[in-house]
Amino acid sequence: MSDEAPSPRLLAIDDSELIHRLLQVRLQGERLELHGALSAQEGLQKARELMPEVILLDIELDTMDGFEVLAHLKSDPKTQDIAVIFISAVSDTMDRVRGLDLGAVDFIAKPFEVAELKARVRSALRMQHLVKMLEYRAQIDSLSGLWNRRYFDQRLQQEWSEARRHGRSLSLIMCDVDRFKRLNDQFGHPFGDQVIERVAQILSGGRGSDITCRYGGEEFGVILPSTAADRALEVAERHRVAIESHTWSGHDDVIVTSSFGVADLTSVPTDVGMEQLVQAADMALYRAKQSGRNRVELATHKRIEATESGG
Amino acid sequence: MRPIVAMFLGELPRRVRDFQAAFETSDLVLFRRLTHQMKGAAGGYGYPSITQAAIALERCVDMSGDTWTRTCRVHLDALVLLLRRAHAAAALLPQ
Repeated sequence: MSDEAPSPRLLAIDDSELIHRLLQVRLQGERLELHGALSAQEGLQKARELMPEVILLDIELDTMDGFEVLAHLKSDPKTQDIAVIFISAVSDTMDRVRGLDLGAVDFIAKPFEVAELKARVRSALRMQHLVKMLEYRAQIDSLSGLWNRRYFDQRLQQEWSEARRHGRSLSLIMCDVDRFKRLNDQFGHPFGDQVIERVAQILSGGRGSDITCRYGGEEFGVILPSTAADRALEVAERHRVAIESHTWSGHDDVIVTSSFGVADLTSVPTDVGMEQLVQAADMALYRAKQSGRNRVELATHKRIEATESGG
Repeated sequence: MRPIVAMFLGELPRRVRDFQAAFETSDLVLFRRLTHQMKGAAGGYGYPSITQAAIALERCVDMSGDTWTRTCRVHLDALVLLLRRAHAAAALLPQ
């Protein structure tokens, strides 16, 4: 199995077959996966399907011009971050300014010089790589190495919408390290950090499809797409046992435990937002704490209604 | 590069016919697109003079009006001449 990252994708949107043939030959040898579209509509469709890193976009197209295509790309959350380079035989300065102002990263005049074309594509790819790296780092919790709260909110919203749209199940596990403050006070913050790091490793060592995030402090959230509550309960129980039975380096006699709240789509009414799923899992977690800690509790629709009505 | 240049040259007679048909039928939209595409591509295939002729023709079409037929005809003829020459010269080259 190769560890090499897949080649970046480049989509050329141009109504001229002559240009597509040229690009195919001229960009041969560059580490690129080249795709082409001969019309604006085809280009927009392929941009959404392929999610290329870079688009080479002609200004003069058929049903809409390149500026309109760019505006469509920038207004679609899915395609708005794709680097767009205008490649056009239109040499008017105002067109270049307009394209750059609309969000294009560069402009190449046709007929193009091959070396310049390659250099500008490489430059756009470098910029794209940096932007993606910054985005990724902004979503990672530095201590645990897990996804952070910001990512958790975005991803849960996404999984919530997908599950609702396609009628799939979705579960959420909220986990909180028991008496974490006491551990910190008694054994020092370096040990507290060790606990966070190790619990993070245990929680993220489950199924590949689960999304483990640090929700905040000593609380973690695990999103389980296409998973019903009974399976999520098993996952949570396995994590609970793994944390409880872990031997802590330098603190052999210390037992760290954690409490879990589990909720799935059946735990909440059908007409509510994903915040209700978090609330349901949180309330189950609260019950686990109230019932003596180091246990897993499941949220149910009935229980939430009862709690909300003061029962 | 050689195979796609050969393809480009081999297609020139058809492109000449396309230009002339669009001109004769006053299909200005198609005529502009053909001109613009030739302007953008020919230089990349090693024919900058064809690109220059297409630039002149496109400028004429852009400034069209009552005189566009007469003036643009001159520029079109110049472009067609270059396209035919390029095609004829290619036939003399060793395969």
